[in-house]
Amino acid sequence: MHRMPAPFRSAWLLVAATLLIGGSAAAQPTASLEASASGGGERSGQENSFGVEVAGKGLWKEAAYRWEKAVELDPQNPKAHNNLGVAYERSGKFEEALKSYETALELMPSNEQIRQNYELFREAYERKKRKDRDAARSRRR
Amino acid sequence: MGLARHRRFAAGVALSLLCFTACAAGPYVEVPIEIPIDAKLDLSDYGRVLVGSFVSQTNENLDLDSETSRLLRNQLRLNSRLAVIEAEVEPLGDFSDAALEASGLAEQFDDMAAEAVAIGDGEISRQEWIDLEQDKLLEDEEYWRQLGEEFEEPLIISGRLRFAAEERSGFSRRDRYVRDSFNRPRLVRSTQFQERNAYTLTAEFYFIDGASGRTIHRERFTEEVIFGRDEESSALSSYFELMDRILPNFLSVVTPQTFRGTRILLR
Repeated sequence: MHRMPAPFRSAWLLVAATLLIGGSAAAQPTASLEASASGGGERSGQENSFGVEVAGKGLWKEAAYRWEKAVELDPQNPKAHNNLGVAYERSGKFEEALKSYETALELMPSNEQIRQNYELFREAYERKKRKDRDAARSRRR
Repeated sequence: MGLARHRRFAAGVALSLLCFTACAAGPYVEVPIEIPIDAKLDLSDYGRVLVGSFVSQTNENLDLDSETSRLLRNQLRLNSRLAVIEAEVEPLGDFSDAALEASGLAEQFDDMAAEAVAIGDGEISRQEWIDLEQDKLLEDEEYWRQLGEEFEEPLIISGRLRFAAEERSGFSRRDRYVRDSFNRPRLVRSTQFQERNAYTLTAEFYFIDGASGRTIHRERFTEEVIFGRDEESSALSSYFELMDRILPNFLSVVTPQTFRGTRILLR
């Protein structure tokens, strides 16, 4: 039987492995969405993407509505939870934002962007709580 | 084609594929956001603000009380929803050395301090005595209530201000790079005595309810600017520099603030 020369063999093996790993990584969120709610996952993804589009145009209320819908359709959609966290934080609903970010991080703990959002949010939220505490203390005085 | 070339080719193909899949896997959009932070004080009961006079203490060539009143009025006009009452209020109290001497209060204090020592009471410093006298003026609810009545019960802002030149000379570390005999850079650390002065500004703001005369909030800030003794630095320009640092914190008491940042939206 004809055997491929060793260098070619290793090249093909590398390509195949890359496609396999890369392909599965790219498909992972969609796959989990589809698995989590047959049909609902796909619609949830669409609502989420639409929310991102309108947020880009400054229509944050509409965006928040879309992300709420996306979460309703698929509670396991980490992207929608993350985006909803941003919308809540932006409108000063800090408790809701905290819950959304935490859920997003629970669903996708290795996602760098969600973690970054969560950490920046915590910093701002702590500052706000400190200001509130100061105000309450001075009112008591 | 040599073996090494084949390997390089294979690695190149794999790397390009990896990059492509990584980019396709995570599309995201970075968006700027402004996070609203409420003002420290709930001022919904007030529509107007009166910047009253301040008790002041400085020996520098600077009218601390009127400069501060004017600055705060301008800042409130620009940054708050409250209507600023355009009125000059009678000076509350000048505690500069010259004013204390002229009014005879300094002498009065010296007599009181001597008497306290004579009867075996603990000594009280001149600054402590000044602080107590200032407290009396700032906590005089009847005075503030009457002032409030005159201006139809606005929010009144007053407080105490202290601006002083202080000595800050001392040893400080100095790092510099020199080249050795082999032309290599080398860090040389040394300490040297520096003659420096500083201006210190302490501002304690009182937020007073014009209807009852009661203080509803107090906030104290201290800032300092240090400069070399040979540098030119006037008291007035240093005062403005220090007030620039204090103003954002002062405004956060009466106006909502926003934190600016960026967040990431995931598609």
